[in-house]
This record gives sequence, C-alpha cells and structure tokens, in this order.
Amino acid sequence: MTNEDLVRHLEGLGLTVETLDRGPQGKWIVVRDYPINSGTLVGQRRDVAIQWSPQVPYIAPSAIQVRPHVVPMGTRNAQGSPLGPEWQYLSRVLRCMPTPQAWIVHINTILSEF
Amino acid sequence: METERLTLYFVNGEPQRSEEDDLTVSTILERAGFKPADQYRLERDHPHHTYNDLNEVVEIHQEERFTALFEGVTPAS
Repeated sequence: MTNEDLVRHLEGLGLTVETLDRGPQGKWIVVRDYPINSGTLVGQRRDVAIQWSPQVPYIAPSAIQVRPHVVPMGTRNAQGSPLGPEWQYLSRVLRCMPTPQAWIVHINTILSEF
Repeated sequence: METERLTLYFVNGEPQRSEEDDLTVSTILERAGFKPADQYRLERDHPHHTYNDLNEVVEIHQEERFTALFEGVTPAS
C-alpha cells in the first residue's frame, strides 16, 4: 500500500481527511472526528493522525496520535505528541501486513481499548 | 423475472452484500477480507453487541453496521 491509498480509503469511508505538513515534525494524515464504535469511549469521536511513512515499500508507523486525549498522559503507553499538547501519542504496533483495511481495524482496536 | 434480493450491510464502513440473511461471524469477517477470522473480533454497532463465538449465526438486517477489530491487546512498540 501507499500513504495515498490510505488517504483514498479513509475518504471513501466518508471521513474528512487532511494532509498536514508540519516541517520538522513531518507530514501527517489527519482524520477528523473518527467514530469510536467499541470500548468505553463508544459513541465519542477523536481526531486521529498517522505519520506519513516515507519508506518504500510502505512501513506502518508504530504509533497513532489522537485528539483529545484518551488516557492520562504517561499511562497505557501514551505520551506527548510532536503535533502539540492537545494531541496524544499512542505507541501501538500494527500487527499484520499494512493495508488500508488493516489500518481501520488497527485504529478501531486501539480506540476500543480505553 | 424474479429479482435477487441482496442484504446490504457494512463492516468497518465498507459495504457488503449477501443473498443470505443469516451468516456466521466467521463468514462475515472473511467475506469482508479479514482472514483468518480467528485473528479478529466482530461487534455489531447498534445495539452494541460483541460476538464471542465465530460459529454464531448472525441475522443480518438491511444497512446493519458491524465493526471488525483485532483479537487481543494491541502491542506497543
């Protein structure tokens, strides 16, 4: 897959997607108001940011960023984000070959775990 | 001419169509591309329900929505 494949897939699901270039902080795919359908946060929404992967072939970044925070900072492998204090870095590894569909499962699973 | 009726449902927001109204959890997952099914968990969005048995038969309703997740806890890097 490519970063562009992921953007197209997210947009195809009807989600609002932006590509953010933060210079030294890198380029990001930002999904606005991602719906949470499982776990204690069910019914809520979060902005989700995925770092644009420069590797070819594509290597999935080992974290996502969420806004607003989902857990107290410093717990559950959460820490400050390069995107700023309103964002939260969640260290989470994609556990299969990266595809856009796998990314959706991955995001759904992460957000269900709080 | 008899028209084939397909039930439209969604898994992770992606449309799926089925001639059958009853599908097992594993079939729903596998038809949506999530194989092997035992690496995934299926939940119905509304009303919220977690399916714990891959062999459970699910009655599919028109435009019903499901969420597929990985089974187990996501590892940290």
